[in-house]
Amino acid sequence: MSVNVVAAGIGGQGIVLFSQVLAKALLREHREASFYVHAGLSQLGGSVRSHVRVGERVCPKVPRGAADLVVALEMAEVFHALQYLKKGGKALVSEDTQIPYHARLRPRSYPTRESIGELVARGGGKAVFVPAGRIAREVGEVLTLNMAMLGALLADTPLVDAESAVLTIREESPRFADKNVEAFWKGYQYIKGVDFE
Amino acid sequence: MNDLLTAGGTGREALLSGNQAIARACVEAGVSLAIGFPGTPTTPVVEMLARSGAEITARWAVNEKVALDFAAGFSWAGMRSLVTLKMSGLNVAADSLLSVAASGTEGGLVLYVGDDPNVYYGMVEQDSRHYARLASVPMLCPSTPQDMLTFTVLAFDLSERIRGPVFLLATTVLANTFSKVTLGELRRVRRRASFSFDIDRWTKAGSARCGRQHQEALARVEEAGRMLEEKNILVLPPGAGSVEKVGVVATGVAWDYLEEVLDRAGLDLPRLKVASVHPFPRERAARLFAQVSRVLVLEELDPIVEDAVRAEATRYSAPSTSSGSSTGRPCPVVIGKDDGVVPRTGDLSPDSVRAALAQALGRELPESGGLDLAPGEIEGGKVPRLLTFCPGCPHRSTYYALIRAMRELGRSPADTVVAGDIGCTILGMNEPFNVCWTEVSMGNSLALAAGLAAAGVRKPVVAALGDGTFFHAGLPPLLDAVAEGADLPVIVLDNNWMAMTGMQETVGSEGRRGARVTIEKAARGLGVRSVTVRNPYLVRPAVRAMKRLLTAPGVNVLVMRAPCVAHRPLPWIVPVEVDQRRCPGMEGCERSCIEALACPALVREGDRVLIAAEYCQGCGLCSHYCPRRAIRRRFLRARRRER
Repeated sequence: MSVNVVAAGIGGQGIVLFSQVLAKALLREHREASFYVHAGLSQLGGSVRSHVRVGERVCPKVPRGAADLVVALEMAEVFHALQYLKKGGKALVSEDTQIPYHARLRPRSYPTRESIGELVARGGGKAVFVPAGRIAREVGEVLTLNMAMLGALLADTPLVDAESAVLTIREESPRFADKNVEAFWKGYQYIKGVDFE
Repeated sequence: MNDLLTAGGTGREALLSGNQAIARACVEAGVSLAIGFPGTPTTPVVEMLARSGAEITARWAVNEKVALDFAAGFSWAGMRSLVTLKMSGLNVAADSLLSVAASGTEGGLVLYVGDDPNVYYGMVEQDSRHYARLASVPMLCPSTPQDMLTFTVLAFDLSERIRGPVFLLATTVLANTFSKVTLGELRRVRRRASFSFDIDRWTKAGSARCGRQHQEALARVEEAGRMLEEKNILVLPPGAGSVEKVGVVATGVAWDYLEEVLDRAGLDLPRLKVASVHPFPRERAARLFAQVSRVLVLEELDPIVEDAVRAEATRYSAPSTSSGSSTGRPCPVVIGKDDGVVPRTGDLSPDSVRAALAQALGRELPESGGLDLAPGEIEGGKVPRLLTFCPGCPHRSTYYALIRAMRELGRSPADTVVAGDIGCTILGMNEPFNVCWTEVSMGNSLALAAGLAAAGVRKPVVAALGDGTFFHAGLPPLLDAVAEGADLPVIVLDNNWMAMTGMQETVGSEGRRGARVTIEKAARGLGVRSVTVRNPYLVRPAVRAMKRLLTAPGVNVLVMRAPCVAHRPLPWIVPVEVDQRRCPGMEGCERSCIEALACPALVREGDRVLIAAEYCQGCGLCSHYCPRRAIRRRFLRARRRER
């Protein structure tokens, strides 16, 4: 099985850990995986993307229109990933918003959940929204947002066994492993418990 | 990670990035020294080795030239050493590079250079492969993290075989790609350092000596070519060449994109992976030419491999010079950047490679089926993210104080030239500060500012630079300004680390292991009489110091000192909050704090301004700024920060 996932977010949201846990969980199950992190000036709150490739291919970048799934850790950042989404693919979008300078001065320049959902649907894809920011705050650590989104991703598309992902989270977490695992399961259960059809 | 760097276990597989693979390879190759200057994308190698517990001296030098000179000392004493630098850093080290390459080496000396096609991290878009030919140094260009490991070990062996330095070049994408890598064996290279008198090799005086060194350097490249030829992979599918008559030459990460595109299109073309960009694998290229009539060349930035392919194609078909008789071989048509098929700037992708291959084949290649949206619809949704200072950054307070001082003197950022420099400090160029006018190269701000003033620009000129940049290349221009008796106000934004590349120590960092040289000590030592240190968070004294700086004659240095909050959050945060009864809201305020300070911790909810407690570092600049005194510190409810 060859699956491509493109994740988008902003610096500091933990897109590297997100990709690393996913890829290492796959390796744990003796499957091939690689990823490329496109960071840019990420320390300064810039856009970050990651291309995760499940399968033998090692080419770092996913071609346009070839991603089965895209994941946005920040709502508006989904626009940095949509060019990669294939028709019929799914966009998992965190409802968390990090509104940048210009959009704070002119709030209408920041997209709404409805406008994103409508655009993706019109293009022949499907957008699923996840309250990942709320989950992370419930867990008590805003930095667990990435793991909530990973849980949501694996609940939606079982790329890898959730238990393998949890073991990998424990191994790879530099800090607050318990909270990361808790956020992962909350994201997982959120998707499992909601009927989107 | 440390375990992956230092543990044995030949044949073990691990998920490594290109940078991690290089670090591992250094341990496998028995390297004694890894040194460099932080520069994305190469920075992690030295850091990983420093933390690994391996018996390797891994450290940062004050700049790249010093790093290379120090490493040459190791190499000339017979030890193996790695130098890591980004493309701009290679320019700094270039003077020594050419000289060391002419002299040759003893212990293996490998330079790991990181190019950044599409300049994701800023600076000049540069193709460092030119240096290979310029300096007569062989260059290996890996395509995958596995290549990064294998080629690093190979580069050390090659360097010792030819007795000259070897380049290893990677791009941002490759350095940051994680994929499965098979580890090799750990070799213990136990050596005793020794160095012998040999002025024919180690000095440059006299044209006969220098001429001989040049010949020897060229001979080393040729010998490297013989060793490297087989590392360039030639794929000749049976029969496939005769159908399309199109072949492809690709190097670096472009080879990977090519494989992806061929795979998706179900194509198997004759193709050559160029692993040694210098010297070019001539024999394999000739074998490819025998199969095809058109050759597409895929590489990022300049047409270096393309020019080599074109030269080789001409040679392939030209009559032999000795007999004058025709070879009867047709010259293959070379397709690439010269005819605009492959982009000359930016980085490649599977998509641009697909488009180039389609043009070379003269037919459409299927594209993956993306969303049915016009490109503008996706592009139009992107929200621009202003590059600005982190919440609580001392630089925000410094530039705020500078602008305040200008205004109190009846000036503004529009009529005061601030020559900026490399690093986080340059973010003062952006809104809402618009204060830095220029950014050129490390340490440039000082001499550029002095030059603008001496040229007679009728505006006050100031230089502003960070502490890392000051020590890297700021000392000679400061000395020059003092010796020339220039009028030069200098602001050093000292946040105690090289923050933008990820908190590396400078020689002025508090708590560093070696001797600490502060900026004020260095500046006074260079003859600067007036050196002042201020805390940027104490706005009023900072503004007073800025006003003195802007009006005083001679060379004056003002050090604005507070550690980077991204690295060392203040241990006690006194939170600030907005008193909503006093705050008139975004629309009611003449210039809101959000607009004036661009602090990411100031958020908008409807028309109200709130402070996001999870981001606020409690620097208090907003409470100082607020014209209505609506933002106040909550002294009584101070809380200890959790993380």
